[in-house]
This record gives sequence, C-alpha cells and structure tokens, in this order.
Amino acid sequence: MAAAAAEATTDGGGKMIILISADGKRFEVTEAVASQSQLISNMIEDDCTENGVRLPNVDGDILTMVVDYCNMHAGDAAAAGDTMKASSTEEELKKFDAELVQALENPVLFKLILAANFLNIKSLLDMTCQRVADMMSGKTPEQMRETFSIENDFTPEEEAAIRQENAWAFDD
Amino acid sequence: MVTATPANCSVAASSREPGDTEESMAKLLPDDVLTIILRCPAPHDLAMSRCVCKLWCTIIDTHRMLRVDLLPHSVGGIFINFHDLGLSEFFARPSTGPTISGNINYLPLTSIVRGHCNGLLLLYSHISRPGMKQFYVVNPATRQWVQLPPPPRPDIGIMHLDNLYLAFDPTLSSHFEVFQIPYVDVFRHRSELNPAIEGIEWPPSTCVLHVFSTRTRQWEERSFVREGEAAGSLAIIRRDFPNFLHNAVYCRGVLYVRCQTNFVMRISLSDGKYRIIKPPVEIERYEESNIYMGLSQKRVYCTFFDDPDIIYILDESYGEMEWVQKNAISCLVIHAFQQTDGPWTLQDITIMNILMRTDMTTAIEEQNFDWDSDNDNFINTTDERNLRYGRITFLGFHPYKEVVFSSHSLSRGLAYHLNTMKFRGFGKIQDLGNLGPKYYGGCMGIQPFIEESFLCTPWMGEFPKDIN
Repeated sequence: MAAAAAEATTDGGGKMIILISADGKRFEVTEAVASQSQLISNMIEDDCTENGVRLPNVDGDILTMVVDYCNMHAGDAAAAGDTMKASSTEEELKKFDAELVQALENPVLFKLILAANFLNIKSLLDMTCQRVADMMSGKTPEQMRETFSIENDFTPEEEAAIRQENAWAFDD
Repeated sequence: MVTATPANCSVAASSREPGDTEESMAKLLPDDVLTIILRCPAPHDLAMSRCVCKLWCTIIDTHRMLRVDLLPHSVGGIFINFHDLGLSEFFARPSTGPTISGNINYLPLTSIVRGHCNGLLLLYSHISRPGMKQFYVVNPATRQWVQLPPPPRPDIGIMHLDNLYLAFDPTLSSHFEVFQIPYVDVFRHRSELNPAIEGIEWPPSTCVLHVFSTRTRQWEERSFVREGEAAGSLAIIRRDFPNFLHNAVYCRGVLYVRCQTNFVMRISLSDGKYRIIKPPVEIERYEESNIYMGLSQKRVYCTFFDDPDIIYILDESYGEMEWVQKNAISCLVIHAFQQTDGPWTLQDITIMNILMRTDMTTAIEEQNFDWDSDNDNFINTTDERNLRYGRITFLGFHPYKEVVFSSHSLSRGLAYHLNTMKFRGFGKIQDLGNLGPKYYGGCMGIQPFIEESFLCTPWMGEFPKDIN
C-alpha cells in the first residue's frame, strides 16, 4: 500500500485502475483512491489489476457510493502533513460522511456495509456500522425489531427472562 | 481480468427465518458483519439489543460485548476537600470491588477534586492566574485523564469562572460533556449598589452556557430557555456565603446544579430548557448551610451540608419541582468511639505526599472487609454511653441503597441506614472509621472543616479514542 501511495503522489495522480461492479458498470479511479480498500491495495501490490478488478458482489449503485467516498477521503493521507489543510477538510469530510449515510434506506445501508466489509475499507465500515448503532440508540427491543424488520423468535418466557437479566436498562 | 473473491466475507448463514423478506437485515447481513455492527452500541442500547432476537443475543453473549461489570455499580470511596489542605483526601473501604486510589498524582499540575459524575472526576489545578489554571477530567479507576481546553472568558464581568460540572453517563456513551454554570461574583465586596443592576432577574430567561464536549473537543455556546420563575434578582443571589460547594447531579439527560443561595438549576440537555428549583426551606435557614444533592436509587435527594438532619426528595411528578421531606435522622446522636480502626480508612494523601510516599496501595490492600455484612461495626444506639454530640458534615448519598454518609466532628465516618430510621430516632448507624487527616487542625492558622465531598462510583471503561 505504501508503495502504491508513493507512486501516486510522485507522478501526480498515479496509475488508473478500473473497478467493475456486479452489473457491469465500470469505474476508473487512481490507485491512491482505490487502495483505501485493503482488498484492492493487496491486489495492486500483487500486480494483478491491469485488466480491471471485477467485484461480483457489489452492485453499481453501491459501488458509486463507495467510489465517491474513496475519492473524497483520498486527500486524507496527502493532507496529513499540512495541519491547516487537514483541519479545514476535516469539517467537509464529516459533512460529506453524514450526508452519505443519513438518508439511506435500510437495504442500501446494509449493502454499503457489506461492500465496505468485503472491500475492507475500515473507515467506511466503522462509519456505516455506527450509523446502524445510532439507529438503535434509545430504542426498545420492539422498536428495534420494527426498525430492522426482525422477527421476535423468543417465547414470552424466554423474553421475560432475558429482560430480567438486564433489568437495569428497562427500569427507566 | 481478475475477480475479487469474497475470501474475507463469509456466506450468510442458511438457517434464516422463513418470514424474512429479500431486503431484511437478517437476509442481507451475515453473522460476522452483524457482529461488527453490534460492537458499536452503548451498553444501554446493547442491553436492549439482547432482547431483540436469539441471534443478536447469542452474538452479544458469545463475544462478551455487554460489559455491565465495567459500569459504575459500587461506592469506591469519598473524596473529601478539607479546608486549607491542598489535596483532596480519599475515604474508602479498602479492597471492595474495583479498587481506586485517591492519590491523583499523575497530572501535570497539582489539582483538587471539584466534581464527580458516574466514575469521572473533574479537577482544578491550584494555579489561579487567568490562562494558567488547568482543568482535568480523570478516571481514577483507570488513571486515564483529559486536559480540558481553557474555558471561554465571559463577555461581562459578573461570572465567576471556576464553576464547571460534568455530564457523563457511561451506559449511553463514553463521551462526556462539561458545563460552565454562571456565577454572580462582581458585587461581593462592594457595599455601594447600583439599583439598576441589583434588580436584574437571575438567571436570565435565556441562559447561554458554555459547554465542552469530547465529541467536538471544544467549548461551544448552548442556549437554554427558562420555564417558570427566575430564582430572584441579582441582589438576592449575591447574599450567598463564601464557602461555595460544588454540587451537581446528572441523571437521564438532566443536569441538576446547586447554585448560589441554594436554588437548583435543572437543565434538560435534550430540549434546551431549564427550570429553577427553589430551596427546601425559608431563607433564614439556607443562609446557614449549602444544600447537598445526590442521587439515590435513581431519585434526586438533598439535605443541608452542615446540618443534615432532614433528608428531602425531589418531587417532579406534576412538573412542579419541589423538595419534599423524606427522612428525619438524629445525626447528633453519636457513638463514643473507642476503637481507632474502622472498616474504612482515610488514604491520608496530604501527609503521604509530604512524606513523598506515593504508593500506598500495598498497605491498603492488606485489609479485607465486607462492608455489606449485617454486623459491620454497627453502633449500639440503645446504649446511652455510646451517644455523644458533635459537628456533623454530610458526605453523600449512597447511589444504590437507602444509606447516607456523614462525618462526625471531622474524626469518624458514619453510614446511616435510612430505611431503619424512625422519625428522629436512631435506627442503624455504622461507624466506618477514622476520617480525620493526620495532624489536621493542630497547626496554627488552619480552620478545620470540610469544604466539599464527592462520592465516587468507579467506572472501569475507556475514554473514546482520540479525545485528547
């Protein structure tokens, strides 16, 4: 990864690679942008990205979001040396991140999480998982089931027992 | 062309409920991804998540994600600020639950405890020159600490600066906030009064507070709109006496702060509103003593710090915030203490630091008592020879039991079991042991009394990453 990043900064933008979604959409990105994905970074190191990288379990609309995210965050490493620049972009990044996940329907959010996990982009995975945690925040088990369309598979006795184990959280 | 294989992405478990739709969480997310998600919620939300379905419960339990044991659940001890001593003393039962040391000698500047909230301490450094004073938030259980950026200077000259309060609930988040509460100070030493200023309503109908949050790592202004009456005018407020007691309670998103002349600001953090709670009795009484608030079994209580014979409970039932008398205890009735040792000990930090002996933990750990035992040094209150009068100072409310702590004549710590107290009767009183610092009061020029006390409930958790 370090080698790829160095290459990208020395020759201004670096080599381009092509990502291909499950439904055949093609995305041309620099190696620096793509190597935020640990999976692709490893492939770049292994020198096997020349004819494009096919991602059979990431749809085009999801990959669009991932590429947008990576483009936006590609400046992170470059700006790290310049503290002024880093602090000004930090605000923008936070805003961009918030807007990216804010309005997503559950299935899209889950697919984005899956893509972040599969491509191994830690910051995107952290952010999207945190978004789900934020959706759980302050909710009762019933509300959580409703939010995420989860079926209650406890018997009433089992559920009562399990609630009792964490009575401290329920007696507010 | 290469195809990225989902090597690090396990295939979704096959045994799903038949009712799942194509797009449901259970259908889309494999267990390993669900596991990553369930590592994020705060303990309270995780406790709720356990009850959602069997899969969630199994994941949470298998990975031991819900660490209730790390949350505050016991009394670790009491930090006591004795007048004229430069360090906070720590009165504690040795080796019960998570052991914490009251000797906070790992900060850049020597500091004194000025606040506590759910395991975190707020400390002020001694240097009082503007711009030099430092404020720290410390977890004594883990020795993690954060230095706060300097609180903003107020625009007008009527605010006393060193008046900060913690809002922290580790069941909801490991982030904390610090509130700067305005304090009227400018008139204290002036005899000439300007009627126009003295008549100003206090606190104002919109109170702008400076708040530090570890989420933003900076001080921000937040407005709180008052519901109901003001406490009075500036003329009334400035009648407060000089020994200011830092005292606040934080519970369920509401911060209760004791202010001058014993009115309480009840600040609701979620909806930007605040209320004034009037003191429990008439003005003649509260000019004599600060009230001390505390949380016990999730209810807010108060009593008088220097004369704690009546315990009040805050009645919030009809939106009318009111202190209601709950217990009357005969605090003056005291044991003629014969033994020198009790189950609790004072860490004697001042003397310890003078002697340059910084690590007392080994000496303390040698003792082992079970404070919850029913026969733990109870005073026989039926024997009159055991009864003696003295100066009582309140130390705190037990957060999980109907017990209050107090100091008798700066020498013994006592625990009153309120549920055993009859009206002005004796009930069960435990002698906890000696709490007077060595040689305290014996030196010329020192007026011995307790200024402040903070009951500490250890939190074994970690601060969020990169909050420094």
